Amino acid sequence: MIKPDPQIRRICLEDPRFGEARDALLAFKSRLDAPLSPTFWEGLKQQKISALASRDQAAAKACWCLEEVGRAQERFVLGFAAAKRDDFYTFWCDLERVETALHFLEPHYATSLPDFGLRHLSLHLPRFQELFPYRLFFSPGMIVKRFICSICGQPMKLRGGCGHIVGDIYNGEICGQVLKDIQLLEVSIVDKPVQKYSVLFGPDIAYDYGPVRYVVQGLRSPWHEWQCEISEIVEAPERFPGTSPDAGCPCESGQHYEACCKRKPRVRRHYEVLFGVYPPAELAAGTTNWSFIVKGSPVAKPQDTTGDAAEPAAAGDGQEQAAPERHGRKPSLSMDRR
Amino acid sequence: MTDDTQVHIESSNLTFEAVAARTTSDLALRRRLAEAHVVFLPLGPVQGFEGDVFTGALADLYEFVRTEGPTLRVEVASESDEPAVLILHWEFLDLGRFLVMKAAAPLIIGILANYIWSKLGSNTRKRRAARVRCEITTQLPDGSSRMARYDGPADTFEKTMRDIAAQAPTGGREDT
Repeated sequence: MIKPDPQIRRICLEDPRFGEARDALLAFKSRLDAPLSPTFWEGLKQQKISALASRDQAAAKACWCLEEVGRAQERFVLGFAAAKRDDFYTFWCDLERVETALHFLEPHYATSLPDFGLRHLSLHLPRFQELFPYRLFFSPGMIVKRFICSICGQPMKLRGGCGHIVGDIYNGEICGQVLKDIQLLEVSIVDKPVQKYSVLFGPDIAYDYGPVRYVVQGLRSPWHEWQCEISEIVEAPERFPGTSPDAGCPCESGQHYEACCKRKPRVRRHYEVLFGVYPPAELAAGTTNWSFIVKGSPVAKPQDTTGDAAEPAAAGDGQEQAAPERHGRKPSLSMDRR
Repeated sequence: MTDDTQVHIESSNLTFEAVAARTTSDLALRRRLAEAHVVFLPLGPVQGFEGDVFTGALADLYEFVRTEGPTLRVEVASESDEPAVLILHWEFLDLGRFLVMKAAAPLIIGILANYIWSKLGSNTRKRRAARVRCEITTQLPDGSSRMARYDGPADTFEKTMRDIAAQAPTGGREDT
């Protein structure tokens, strides 16, 4: 089992060779909608070449880790910016890319650490995903007869294979299985796909992006803290509970209860969003389609996950302020969706 | 055990000898299969494909079991070093089918549980939502076998399978 190596973290955080790349990644809070500069990627590429030339596998691995952190940060920021423009599917796909990057990174660099905003990403990624309305996805089922090692190009065999371990880092690259000789069996519709890009779209499918739009518009920066409590409230319970569906309706219409007053309990989803920083005034003023109230929230104060607890969250436009606590609780916005 | 957990237990006639005889005519491999502590079995028939198919996790899990249980004799019921695998892009862990000897069952269950957690990482939400599918046939000391199939949440897999294993008659195969 591959486990994070403290030496790799030390190189990433302290080695002077990676100063420029490290500074760029540590300044994640100031990047609200821009990608990392080309010099960041070029600098790491050169460092990796140099590390390999001197057979420094640890430094090459650190390069890979920093690249992966950069990918995760960049996709998160760019996806969030797309969501600000109401391009929610792009945000969804970018969240999937962030999830993939964190998945690859985790065995080598603990993503629960606050370094480079990784803990923020790990915590907020599933929170954003939960707000999306996508529930069904296309998913291929296939038989794979051969796998090739992405490092050496040799067939991956059960007994006496090439020795490279899938998911480990060799020469600054991650080892993966290249699928060969595939027989597609089926394409299914599933609710828990391995990759989440293949969302079901169609002329009869209308998605409600209200909750994710609400949170994105309420955040001045993708790096600000927030959390959401989702609950279901039964709005209209059954009219005559306990009545058999086949019995005459108690309203004396002469019809069976099932054909008359029996109805499914109507449920609405209730979202209580706790923003770590006050949302923009227009959201709070109710100019959006959402009704909301500001109140003392029973939700616990969110933990700082960006590794910078003492400092207020990064300034998005210079007008923001940390939400004040009222009786030990922070204000939250509450909204309902049927 | 939760409501969305499906556990099926039945007696079976699967034995190490039978698997070895069915898999290969290669005497060396046949002996290794017959003397193994745990054997990875092919999945049932897959529509549209002729031949044995294993779970997509086979290579990874095979390596994991061999690393975590260095004293175990681990084999795959396949003559080929590159057996075909079934990949379903659905987010549940299909660990596949196993034949294990009674004495090794608790160790195997522990290793499979470790594998599950290694795959799910530190994301607690993912851990709670993850599902696991697995079938373990245990060969008992009297030569009979018992199959237990689990389909349910990842976090109750280990306890459920350990409880099932504990209910089986105690003892081990004579050659252990």
